[in-house]
Amino acid sequence: MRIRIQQYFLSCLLLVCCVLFVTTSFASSDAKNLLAFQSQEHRDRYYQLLDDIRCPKCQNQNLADSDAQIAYDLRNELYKLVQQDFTDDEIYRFMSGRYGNFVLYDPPLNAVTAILWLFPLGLFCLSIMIIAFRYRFSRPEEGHTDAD
Amino acid sequence: MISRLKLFAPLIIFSVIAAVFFRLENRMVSGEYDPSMLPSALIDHPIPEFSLPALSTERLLTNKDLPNQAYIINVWASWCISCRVEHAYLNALSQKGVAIIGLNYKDRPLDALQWLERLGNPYQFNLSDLKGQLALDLGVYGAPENYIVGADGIIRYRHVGILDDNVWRDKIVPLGLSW
Repeated sequence: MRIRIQQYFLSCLLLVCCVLFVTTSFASSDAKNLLAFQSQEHRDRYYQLLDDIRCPKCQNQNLADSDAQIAYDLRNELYKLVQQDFTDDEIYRFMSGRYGNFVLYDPPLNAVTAILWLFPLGLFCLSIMIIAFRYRFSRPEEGHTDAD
Repeated sequence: MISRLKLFAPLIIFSVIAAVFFRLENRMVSGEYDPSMLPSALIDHPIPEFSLPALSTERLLTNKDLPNQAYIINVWASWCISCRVEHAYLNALSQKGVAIIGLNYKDRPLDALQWLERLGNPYQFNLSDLKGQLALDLGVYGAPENYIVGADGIIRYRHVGILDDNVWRDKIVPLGLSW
């Protein structure tokens, strides 16, 4: 008798889980399709750009992740721009013209960001020079005293 | 001799890095440097074109209605707690004759008008930006924000957060604008 009840209870639970799973998956696909786009290409670009633009308020989240009011506004703006066939470059310029290069995950090379590109390059050149220098000036008999 | 000196290389490198971080930490504690504050992309640019209703009269205002002297655009809303803290200082500034234009950001106009009645009105006029259009063009990402604009209509400085005496003395006075 007791096993019966258990089985009954378990199957009920399973049923509830199935129903919940189906409804939540419907819900999420609904949310994704809430915005109407001209074409699948526009939709793909919109979601791609959401991932590629940083929210100025919640600074470690992109526009897709962030729940800040400004991220909501920028998503709306982005939707309009995509629907009006602005190119990716124009959209990046629109965003960085207002919120600075900070919102771009791939900032342009300028005086502020130069160190990002030049520092590794400089380090590479320096290490080549050091290796060349040591190779050139270390005589074989001194080679092992250096390591002591 | 040189190989002896080499032993100290890691210590020296560590000291340099420690000094850099110590200085950074000091500047953050003193409030001189705040990594969450973004530089405005609009510094040295004119105020973007706008056409927005006035908060009280709903008459449409444009760039032509902005003052011909140096002024502050203060982004505020009645739902913004920091703006409540800032408000007394704005009242004091306007008593000293500083021109302040309000950008009422995503607010209910009735709430905003009530707030001004209750707490005093330091603004020459208020733009009612219900959808945050001008705010978006200005690069606003939260209230309060203050844009310091020269007599020529060029944005000279942006302060995110509460405007107080320290900010006024350390950041705005050095701009050399005549108020």
